[in-house]
Amino acid sequence: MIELNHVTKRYWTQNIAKQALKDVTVQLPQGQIIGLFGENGAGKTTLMKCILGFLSYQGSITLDGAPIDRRNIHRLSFATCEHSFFPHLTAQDHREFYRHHFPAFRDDRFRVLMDFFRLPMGREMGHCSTGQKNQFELILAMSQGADYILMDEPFAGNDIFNREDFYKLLLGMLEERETVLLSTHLIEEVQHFVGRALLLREGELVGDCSVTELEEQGRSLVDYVKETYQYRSGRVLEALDRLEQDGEGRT
Amino acid sequence: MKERWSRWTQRLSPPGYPVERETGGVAVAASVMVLIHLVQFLFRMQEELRWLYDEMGRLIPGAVMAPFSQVTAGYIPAWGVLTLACLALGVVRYTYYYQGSRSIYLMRRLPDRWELWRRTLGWPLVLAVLLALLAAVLLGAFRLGYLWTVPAEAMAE
Repeated sequence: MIELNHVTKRYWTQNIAKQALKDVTVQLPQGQIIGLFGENGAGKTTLMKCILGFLSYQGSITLDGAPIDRRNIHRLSFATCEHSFFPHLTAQDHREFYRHHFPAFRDDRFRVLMDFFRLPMGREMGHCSTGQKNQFELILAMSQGADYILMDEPFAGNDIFNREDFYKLLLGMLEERETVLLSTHLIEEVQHFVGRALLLREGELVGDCSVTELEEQGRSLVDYVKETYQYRSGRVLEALDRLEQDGEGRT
Repeated sequence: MKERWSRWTQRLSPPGYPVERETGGVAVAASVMVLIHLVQFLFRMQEELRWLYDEMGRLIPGAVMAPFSQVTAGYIPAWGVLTLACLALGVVRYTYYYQGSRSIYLMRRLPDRWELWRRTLGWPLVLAVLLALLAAVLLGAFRLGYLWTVPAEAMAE
């Protein structure tokens, strides 16, 4: 289990401290598909980067009670919309690189996913389309043999059919020990695939719920997110009204 | 042999990095440096030796050859700069992990903690050592040439 205890991350911008994460305490047990939601700048990416040790932070993050370091980092994989593969290597080269560095690399899964998405094995990844790059990024994260798969906006640039396919594959492929932490804005799309939702707002964890429980209460994940965010659906109309009134005032 | 060499250099470089081009560039810079210093050394030696002899080609009594350090002035700083430039390639290599993707995320997640630094600094260090050796060999050759051409009576040191 990954445990975050009172994790706080501060950034300094122009001599002003900004809290990207505020006292986040949460547990991520094995075998769950967890959605991480929040508006832009809510701290989703920062949270993942803290877990992976890319950023320094206050508080503690442990994996089965031990700090995350070189000894257990292989249990975590990461797919990001920024892409973390090597643009001048082919898929085949990446396969060899991963096999060398991650002994638990799932070659069977890699092959199935490469075939499924019909990605070329011998082409430099930098020359592929954005959609193909996203798919490849996900394939690597899924094939690493990690227990915890962290995905940060992995579908940016993929069409709806592609995303649907991937969700289904994800559900079919994941084993009980595998946990997915999926950060995305596509709440409606993933609500039937995630079992738990974490909501971040301005660096604070403002919501943590089971999607099954929500469904039993007859509520959708989107409703829950809107409620938690105190989303005012009328604000668009209000803004348009104001704009109209301003326009009349000027004429 | 060529394949083994290529595998070795690639293992000391970021995956997909144009290491052959980089090595070629360093080799050209080193060759130009060797050529410049060779020409400079020969020119300076000829100039300095001229003052030791009269029109008849006889050694002028009491004439003293310029010291070796004067003949090779500027040599060590120049090679030092080239060696440091080689080490600076490590910075270029590190920025490579930010080009076209953020492969730095993968490199920083590898269980082998040295892999990132081996691939970033390994080959520049090898090149820097090779350059330092080349500089030393060349300086040694110049010294031998100096000792061979300067008559013992005219030695400054």
